[in-house]
Amino acid sequence: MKSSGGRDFLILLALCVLGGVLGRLQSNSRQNGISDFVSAAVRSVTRPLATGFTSAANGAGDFFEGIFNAAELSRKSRELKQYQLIASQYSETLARLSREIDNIRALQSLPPIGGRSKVYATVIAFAPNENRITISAGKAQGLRPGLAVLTAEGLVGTIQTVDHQESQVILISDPNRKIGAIVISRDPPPIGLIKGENEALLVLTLDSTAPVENGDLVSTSGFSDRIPRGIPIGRVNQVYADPTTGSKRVEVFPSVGLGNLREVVVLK
Amino acid sequence: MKGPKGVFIAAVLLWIAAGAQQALAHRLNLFGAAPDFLLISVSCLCLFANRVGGALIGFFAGLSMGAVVGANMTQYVISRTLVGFLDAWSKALGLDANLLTAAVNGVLVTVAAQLLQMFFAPPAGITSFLGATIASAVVNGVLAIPVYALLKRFFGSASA
Repeated sequence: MKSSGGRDFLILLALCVLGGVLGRLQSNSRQNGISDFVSAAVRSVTRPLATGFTSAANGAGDFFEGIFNAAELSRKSRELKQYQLIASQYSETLARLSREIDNIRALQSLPPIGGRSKVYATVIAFAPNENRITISAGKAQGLRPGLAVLTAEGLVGTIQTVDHQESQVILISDPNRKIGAIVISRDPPPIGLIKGENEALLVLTLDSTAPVENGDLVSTSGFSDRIPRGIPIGRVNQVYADPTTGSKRVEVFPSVGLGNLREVVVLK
Repeated sequence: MKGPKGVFIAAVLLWIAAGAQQALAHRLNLFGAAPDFLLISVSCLCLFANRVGGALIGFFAGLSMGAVVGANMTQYVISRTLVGFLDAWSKALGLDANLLTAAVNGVLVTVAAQLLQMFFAPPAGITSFLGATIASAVVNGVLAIPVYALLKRFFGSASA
């Protein structure tokens, strides 16, 4: 009995040590922007089921939405078709102006800004406590770590690890991840770093003299080759002066409702 | 729970729980109380397992959780392994296993696992984390009842 008890505790200890080793392996792989083979294997085994559950849940939600709001959905659909026609005309104008800007920059010996192609993906997993989502696009679609993930409302987060057909995204609500941000409502726009406080609140740190008021729009700074400038992040809700650090603590409500994500776009 | 049948049932339950955890848990969030399907599986399976079995169930549940949410695996594996071991060991108390004890067990397993996890990786907001843990524990306790009833049909009686 005693030897059996000792064996049980030894197995427990071995499993805990193995957990530590797997965690270390995971961290090392993550630093290289990829998933470790254990995580990748587990996710590949559970992906079909998770995708099935996601499709079923989305389908059920859409079904009841259609049942209870059919008239409104039809009206919205007609409106969207009109908007699509208008947007296509603007897109042509925008493309022409972008080419002209690039030509002017070329005359000044500056590199072209260039456009970014969009990769559409579905959210197949969401871990709110870990401030992460998993999306259905990866290396096969040309994604790489650090790219911006967004919706029509604004920035969702950045890609951390990329597998063949899926990627892990760290949300802007993560308290451990800072992103360059500007208060785009001001000219010149104050620059700072923004990080998450919780799912519904972000905190931007600015210089104490930075002009900023409630309601100002905060966007990405663009001081990165992977996250372009001007993607909306949120609006200023409160501004506090911090005399001890000589900075301003700016509370920002995120533009995107992170709890209701279904489809996202990756700018590559 | 012994032999290939037990291993098979445990593996299938953990697989379904991992899939549901990825795709459904956040959708079922009600006032901050989201179910943790993997912990529900651990709490119910451990009622039918010995200590080593409980530790293995906890280990694979932690491994699955760490892998599917992409968070640090160490905190999940160690907390779930320890809780699985202790939960299976609690059968030595000689309590009769029934739907009520399964529910209470679901609550206790959730609280213990999350507190252990908090010890290994302190969250940014401890108060909100504890609130969410208690709320999730209640949901897990309720959901543990049908899962335990289903497992009892497969495994027969168990003692908690």
